[in-house]
Amino acid sequence: MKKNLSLFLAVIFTLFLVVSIIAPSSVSAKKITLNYANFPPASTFPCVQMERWKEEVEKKSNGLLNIQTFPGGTLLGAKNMLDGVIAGQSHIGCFALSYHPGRFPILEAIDLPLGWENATSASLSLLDLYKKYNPKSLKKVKILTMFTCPPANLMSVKPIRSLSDMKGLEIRAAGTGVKVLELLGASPIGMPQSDVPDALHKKVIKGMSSSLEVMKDFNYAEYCRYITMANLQVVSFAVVMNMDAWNRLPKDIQKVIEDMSYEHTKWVGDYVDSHVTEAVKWSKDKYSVEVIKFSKEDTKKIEKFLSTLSKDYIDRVSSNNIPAKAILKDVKLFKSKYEKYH
Amino acid sequence: MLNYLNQSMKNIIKNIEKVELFCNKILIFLASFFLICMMLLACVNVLFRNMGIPVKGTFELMGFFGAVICGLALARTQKQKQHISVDVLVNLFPKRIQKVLNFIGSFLSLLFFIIVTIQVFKWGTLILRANEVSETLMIVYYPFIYALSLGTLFISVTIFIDILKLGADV
Repeated sequence: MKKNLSLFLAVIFTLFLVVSIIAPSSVSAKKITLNYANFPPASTFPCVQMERWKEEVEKKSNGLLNIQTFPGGTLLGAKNMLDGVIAGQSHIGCFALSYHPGRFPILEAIDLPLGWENATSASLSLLDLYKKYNPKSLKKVKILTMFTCPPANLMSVKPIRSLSDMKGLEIRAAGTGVKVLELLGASPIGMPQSDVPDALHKKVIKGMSSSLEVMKDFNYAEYCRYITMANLQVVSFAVVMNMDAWNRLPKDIQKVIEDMSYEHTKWVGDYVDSHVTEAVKWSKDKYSVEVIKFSKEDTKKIEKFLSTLSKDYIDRVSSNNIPAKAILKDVKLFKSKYEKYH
Repeated sequence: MLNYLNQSMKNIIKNIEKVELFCNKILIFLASFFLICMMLLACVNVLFRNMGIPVKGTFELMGFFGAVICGLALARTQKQKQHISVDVLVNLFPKRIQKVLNFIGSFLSLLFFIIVTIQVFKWGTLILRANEVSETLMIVYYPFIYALSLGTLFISVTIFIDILKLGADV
């Protein structure tokens, strides 16, 4: 009798488990729901632009589109974003091109330390470069928008007052930033921004090279009390959509989204540029962060060290039948064009 | 006659198992080798880091080695039943049903690992074709992904043989 009862309970419990696993999936209404995955936390600028894009596109489609956003790597992580979108795990995804060295040889030119003045110019140049060359590496997805972060500076636990302070210092970087830091004598560690808080906490890194809005958005100011201005490279981002999902959209909705791309890129650039100023002020007020400038000699040295990078780029990329020289010339042209206005 | 068939079937399984055990041994040997590398690298880095010259790429190599070690150790761990298996519910059923449940469980695991193997292999090929390199050392890293898919391939083989043995027992 007792045995029968336990058998009965076991069967009931197993059934319960099975039913709870195959829970009913959500029923879709007439609206088109699209998932939008992003890797950094909700407070950061790639996620702020995501929410803004969602709002705009929902409004302009008269409520036909419903965008569901997934910040903080809840749907896809920093490095599997593009492949996840291609495979259809998310309809839309925002990722950093610079986290995949070697994969986007044409667009990498934007990431060279060319002395960008702000994110707006770099972002618009990135979009122009993409439109002109239409690279093979992004043929499998639909590009919705592109942008870059503002030029990188240094944030560190201990002050970096001169180039000699950087010697052997473990600093996080992304993309071309790794090579840049190496040329400046530091010991760079390449990792996505989303891995930095943990690495800082565990003292795997002692500082990082990135645009300064992260001081506030990631609260790095709590650890890094020193900022050293260096105006280095930018990190480029792309918002991509699964090709099948794109083709399923009605033509008028496709037009709404395509028409937004340039305007949205400009909005992101403007937003993040002004946000950097605000974040630096916030860090000074809240954690009395010190902002350091390199001496004139050091600035000259940095320029000299980094001048080799463009030549390296041309040598490396040209070997794959890519017109690197022409690309670099175009980028510089875009740069001067946009920096006149922004 | 039936008895004879059953016996020869068992012999075949035994021979396949021998080959499998040998392969698993090679994989675990490789995994141990990478584990030693990882330990040495960590120690060397601790030492040199304190002297102000950190070893470049330690962070990413640790990640790659860790993945390879887990992948290559899967098959042998499964064979020796050193993994965690939850059998709270299964133990409540009579022996015969337990066997059927085991069979279903192994079959689902087999399916799962075959899918993982195919997907990881595809991912490796994608990284290879895209010419993507690692973030710090700028080295090609698809071999690590292929090694991982080799590990999941062999755990699939191990589970397949377990299923054959279960079948031969019935």
